[in-house]
Amino acid sequence: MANVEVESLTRVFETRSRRVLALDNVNLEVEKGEVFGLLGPNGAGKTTLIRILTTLLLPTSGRAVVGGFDVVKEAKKVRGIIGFSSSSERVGFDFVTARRNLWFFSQLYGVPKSEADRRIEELASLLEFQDQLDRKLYMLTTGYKQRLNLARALINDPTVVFFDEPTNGMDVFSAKKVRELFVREARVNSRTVFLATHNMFEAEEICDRVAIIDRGRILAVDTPENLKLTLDKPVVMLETDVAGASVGDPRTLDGVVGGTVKLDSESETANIRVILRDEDYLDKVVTLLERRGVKVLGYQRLEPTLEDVFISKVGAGFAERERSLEV
Amino acid sequence: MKKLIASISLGLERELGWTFPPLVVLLGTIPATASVLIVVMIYWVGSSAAGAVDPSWIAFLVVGASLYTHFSSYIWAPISAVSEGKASYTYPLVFIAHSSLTYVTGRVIASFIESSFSAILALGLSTVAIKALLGVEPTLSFTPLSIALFALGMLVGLLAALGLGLMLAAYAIFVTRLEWGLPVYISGILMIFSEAIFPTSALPPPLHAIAESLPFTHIIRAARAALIGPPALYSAEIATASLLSATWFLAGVLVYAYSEGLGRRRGYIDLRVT
Amino acid sequence: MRSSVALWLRVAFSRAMIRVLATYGDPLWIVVNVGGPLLTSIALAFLYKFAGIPQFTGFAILGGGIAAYWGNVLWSMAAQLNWDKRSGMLYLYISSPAPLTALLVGMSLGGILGTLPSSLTVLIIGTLLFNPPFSPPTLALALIFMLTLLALYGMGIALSSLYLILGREAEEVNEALYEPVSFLSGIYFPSIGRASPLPLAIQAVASLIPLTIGMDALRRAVFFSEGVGELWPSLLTLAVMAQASIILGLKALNYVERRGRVTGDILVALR
Ligand SMILES: Nc1ncnc2c1ncn2[C@@H]1O[C@H](COP(=O)(O)OP(=O)(O)O)[C@@H](O)[C@H]1O
Ligand SMILES: [Mg+2]
Repeated sequence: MANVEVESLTRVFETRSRRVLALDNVNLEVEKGEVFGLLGPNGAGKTTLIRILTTLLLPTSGRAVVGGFDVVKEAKKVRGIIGFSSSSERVGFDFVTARRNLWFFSQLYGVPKSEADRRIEELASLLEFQDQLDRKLYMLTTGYKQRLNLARALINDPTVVFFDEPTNGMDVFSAKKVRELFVREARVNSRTVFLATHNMFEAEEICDRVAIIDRGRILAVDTPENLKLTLDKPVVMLETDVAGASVGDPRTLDGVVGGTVKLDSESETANIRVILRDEDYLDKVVTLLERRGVKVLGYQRLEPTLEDVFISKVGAGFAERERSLEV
Repeated sequence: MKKLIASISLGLERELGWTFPPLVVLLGTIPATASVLIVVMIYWVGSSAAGAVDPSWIAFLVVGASLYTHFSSYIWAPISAVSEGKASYTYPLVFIAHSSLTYVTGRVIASFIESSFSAILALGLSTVAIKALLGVEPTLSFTPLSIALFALGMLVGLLAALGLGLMLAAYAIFVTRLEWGLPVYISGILMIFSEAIFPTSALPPPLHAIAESLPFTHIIRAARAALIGPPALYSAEIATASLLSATWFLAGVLVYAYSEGLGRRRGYIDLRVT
Repeated sequence: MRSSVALWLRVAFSRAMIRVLATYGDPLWIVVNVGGPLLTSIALAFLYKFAGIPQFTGFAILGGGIAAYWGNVLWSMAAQLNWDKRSGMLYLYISSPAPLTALLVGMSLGGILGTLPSSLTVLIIGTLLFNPPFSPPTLALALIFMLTLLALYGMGIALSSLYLILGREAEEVNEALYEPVSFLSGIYFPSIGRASPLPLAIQAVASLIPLTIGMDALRRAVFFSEGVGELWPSLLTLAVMAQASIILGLKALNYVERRGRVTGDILVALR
C-alpha cells in the first residue's frame, strides 16, 4: 500500500510582482518502509511539496494522500501520523532540559506520559545522546541539538516522516549517522522516510527510489541504479586551461547534450563536464574548444552520477540551474 | 570622519530602512507623547486630590519628561549596535575593519537624530494635548533663542549619552545574552535621579548627591531654564552639564577602548550564545 | 470527541509547564524583566508624593505590578508567534495535531505564572519604600484581578494573529503600543471615573480597552475598599470583555491558519 500518493499536484504562488509555478502536475507514489528521495537544485519545489504533504500549504489543484488521509480534507488525521524536521529550523526551549523539550513535543501529539518517557529513552540511545538528556538545551553543542531535532521528528512514532535537507550544515560524521538512522527507521520500523535533498551523494547512498525534480516538474522516478542505467550516453570530463571557464553554455558545442563548467582557481584550470550525444563527438568537441582558444589539457570518461541524469534531462547542472533562477 | 559619516548613515538606514521614515518618527513620537502625558496626568490627579494644583509644574514636567524619553530612547543604540552585530557576526567585521568606536559613535548619532525628531514632536504634541485635555497651557516660551538654547542642551546631552552608551556597549562586549537588561535599569535610574519628573528635593537628602552628579540632571535644568526660565540659571547649568558630560564622554571612550582590547584578547568579540 | 478534549488539555498543560520551567530556569530573565516596571513605579510614586498626596503612591506601585503583566502580554504573547514563525516552531505546531488555541491558552497560563515573581517584586519593594495604605484583600479583588488578566491575555492572543499577518512591522507596532495603552488604560492613574482628569469622550474610548476597566476596578478595591456590591458593573463588563477578546483571539487564530495555508507566507518565514 502506498503511504504517500500524489496526483496531478500543482501549486502556484502569486505575489505582487510575480507568479511562480512551484509545482507543476506532480505525480508520485511512495511505499511503506521506503526511503524516498526528492532530488533537485534549490528552488526546484522540494520544500513546497513537503509543505503540502505536511498540511502547511494547500495545493492549487490536484490531490495528495498521506497514510491514507487526504491532506486537504483530513488534515487533522494526517497531522497525527507524520513527523517533520528540517535543517533550517531552530526549535526548542533554551532553558529547559532536552528531556523536557522532547516531552513537550510528544504532548503535541497527545502521547501518554509513560509511552513518551519510553520513546525518549529509546530515541536518545539510538541517537547516542542519553548523557545529554538532562542538560538544558543552551548547554548542548550544535551536533547534539541536531540529533535532538531528529529525535523530535520521531517522537510520535510517525507512519511517514519528512526530512527537508536534514544534513545541511552537519559535519560529515553526524551526516553519516543520520543517514544510517533513516535507513534503519524504514527497514526496522517500516516507516516511510521522505527526504528532500540537493545532495546527490546522499540520494544515491540511501534512497530506495529517487525523484528528480526541476522547476516544479518531476523529470524521472526510479532507483538510483536504474536512473543511471537509463543514461546511455558518455560522460566526459575535459580539463582545460582557464580560458575554458568562459566558454559559456556547453550546449553551444556541437554534440553536447548538456554539461557544467567549473573553474579551479587553485590549479588555474577549468573542468568542463559534458554529456555527449555519442562517443564520436569527443574529437569534435575538443577541436571546437581549441578553435575558441581553449587549450584542452586532457580528458577522462566518467561513471555517470545522478547529476548527470539531471544534466541529460535539463541540459545544465544544479549550480547553473540555481543561478538562472536568481535573475 | 568618513567612517563616522558612513556609520551614521548605516545607523539611519538600519532604523529607518524597514519602512518609510515618517512612520518610524511617528511610531517614536506616539509613545514619547504618551509617557509625557502619563506623568502630567499623575501630577494633575495627585495635586487636585491634595487641593493644590500649580499649573507652572506642568511645563516643568513636559520639558523634563520629553528630554528624559529622548535620552532613554537613544542610549540603547550602542548596546544594540554591539549585540545585534554580535548576533549577526557583523560586529567582528566592524572590529577588524577599523576601531569599532567610530562605528558605535555613528550609530548613537544616527539614533540621536531620529529620536530628536520624536522628542521635539512629542514636546509640541503633548503641549497641544494637555491644552485640549486639561484646559491649561504649559507656559513654555518658544523663541528662536530659547529653541537654540534648548537644542544646545540636547547636543550636550548627546555627549553625556555617548559616554554612558559607550560604557554600556563595553558591557555588551562581554555579555552574550539579555544585554538589554542593563539599559532598562539605567533608564529607570535616570528617571528617578535626573530631575526628569520631580525636583531633586523630593528625594531623600542622602540621595541628592547622586542627582547632582548626573549630567542629565543639569541638562534638563538648563533646558527648563531655556524654555521656562529663569534665563539666568541657564549658563550655570549648561556649564556644569558640559563639564560633567565631557567627563562622562571621556570615561566612556576610555572604558570602551579598554574593553574592546580586553574583549579581543579574551576572545569575546565574536562570542555569542543562542 | 473525548480524545480531542484530552489532547487540548494535554497541549495547554504542557505549553504552560514549559513556559513556567523556562522562566524559572532562568532567574536572570526575571531580574531583567522586573527592572522597567519596578523603577518606573518608584519614580511615579515619588511624583505622587511630590504632588502632595502620599496616599496615592499606591497607584504607582499597583500600576507597576500590572505593567509587568502588560509587558509580558506584548512581548511574550503577542510577539511570540512571530518569533515561533521565524525559528520554525510554528511549522511544528501547525503540522502536529495540537490545536493552536490550546497552545496559546497554555502560553497565557504559563505567562501569568511566570510573571508573578516580577509583579510581586514590584508590589513588595514598592510597599516597603512608600508604605501606601492598602485595603485588606477581598473576594472582589481576586475576581477582578483574574478577569483583568483573562482580558489582557485574550488581547495578547488576538494581537498574536494580527502580528503574524503584519510580519516584520509587527515588532515596531508592538513597541509603539506599550506607552499609549498604558496612558489610556490608566495603569498608573485613574483614566476613567470621577477622579479621571480626561474628557468624557476620551474616557469612552479608553473604556473599550479591557485593561482600563480592570485597572479602575482594581484601584477601587485596593485603595477604597469597594466590594462586589459596588464593583459588580465592572466585574460584569470585564467578564464580557474577557470572553469577547478570547473568542475574537481564537477566531483570528483559526483565520490566520486557514489563510496561511492558502498564501504560503504567513505560517513560515521566507528565507
Ligand atoms: N510563499 C511563497 N511565495 C512565493 N513564492 C514562493 C513561496 N514559497 C516558495 N516559493 C517559490 O517557489 C519555488 C520553489 O521553492 P521551494 O519549494 O522552496 O524549492 P526548494 O525547496 O526545492 O529549494 C521557488 O521559486 C520559490 O521562490
Ligand atoms: Mg527547500
